[in-house]
Amino acid sequence: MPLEESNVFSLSRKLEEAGSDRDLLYKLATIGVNQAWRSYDENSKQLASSFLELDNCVILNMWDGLDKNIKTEFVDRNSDLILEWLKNG
Amino acid sequence: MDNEKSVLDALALKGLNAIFNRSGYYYGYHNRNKMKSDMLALMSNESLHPYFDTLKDEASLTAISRVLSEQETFSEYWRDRFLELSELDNIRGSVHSLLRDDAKHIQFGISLNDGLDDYALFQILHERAASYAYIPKVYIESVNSLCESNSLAFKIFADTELFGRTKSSLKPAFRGFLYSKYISSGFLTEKTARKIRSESSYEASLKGVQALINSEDKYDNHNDLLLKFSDSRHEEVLAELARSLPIWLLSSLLGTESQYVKGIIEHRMNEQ
Repeated sequence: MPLEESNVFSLSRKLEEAGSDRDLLYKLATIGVNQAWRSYDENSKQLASSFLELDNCVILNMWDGLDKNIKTEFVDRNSDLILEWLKNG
Repeated sequence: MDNEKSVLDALALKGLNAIFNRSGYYYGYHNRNKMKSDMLALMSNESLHPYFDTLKDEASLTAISRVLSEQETFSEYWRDRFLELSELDNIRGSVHSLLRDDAKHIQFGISLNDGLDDYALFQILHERAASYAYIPKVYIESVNSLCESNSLAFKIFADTELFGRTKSSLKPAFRGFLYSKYISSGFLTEKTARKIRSESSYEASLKGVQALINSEDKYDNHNDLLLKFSDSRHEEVLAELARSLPIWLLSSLLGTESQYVKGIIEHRMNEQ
């Protein structure tokens, strides 16, 4: 992870400066979270867990590309919310 | 919001590393073409250059060079990155990887570098390759390139290394290969032909005679040069001549005691 160590580069800031929309950031982050989910190291686990705590609308932007296991975990964590939504028709 | 930004940033970097940093190979790409086109799109995005500046490992750069080598044009940024890899100091430091055909990224840089000194590159490769048990592909390419761009430098090298006063310390396979390049470049003389004839290794001598047989257009005295080999002590060399000499020169081989060679001559005579 060369950049995480050197901490010299903020991808989101660079993309903002370049006037890019957030699609690229979301696309790369989706690949990143799928990778992190499959990793065994503590940092990756922490990162994957932080992802699930993000605002739902951010997760929605990345939903299609997410690993099935991450989707299942998201549904598990939000089962009360989903149940309420189902009850309300 | 700051937390969201930093999490997305860290995940996006992880995603980039998964694609480009091959130690974190992303298994999610089942379609290699899709992966290549995604890589190319990212590589073309200037805002990611600071990220790419940090990628220096062999595997990542090899993957990137594979993508670039399939493009007709690419940005100055990438050209400069790979040209830097083809600098002689860098080649010197990676010479074993190059010879093992394990440094495609440097080879790609070399292919882009029109100003590279072919002789200097050859010298670096030769110094290490000579101890190998086989002739590395990159070494062969380097000799081929040198013979095209600076054949005189190759001739001077070969005259010293192969035909100098001290006996060559090169292995027979290397001597044979260099003889064949020397001969196919048109440098053979009656004197150097005699030296190749007197080779202690049949393998090296045979390579020489085979190259001479295939280089008829390079020599006005082609038959005279071939005849220099007709008293070779190596049966394999004589057999090659017996198969290739014009019929009217076969008599030059009749002094041989080899039944095998005599058999080939007899067979050819009977074909007439």
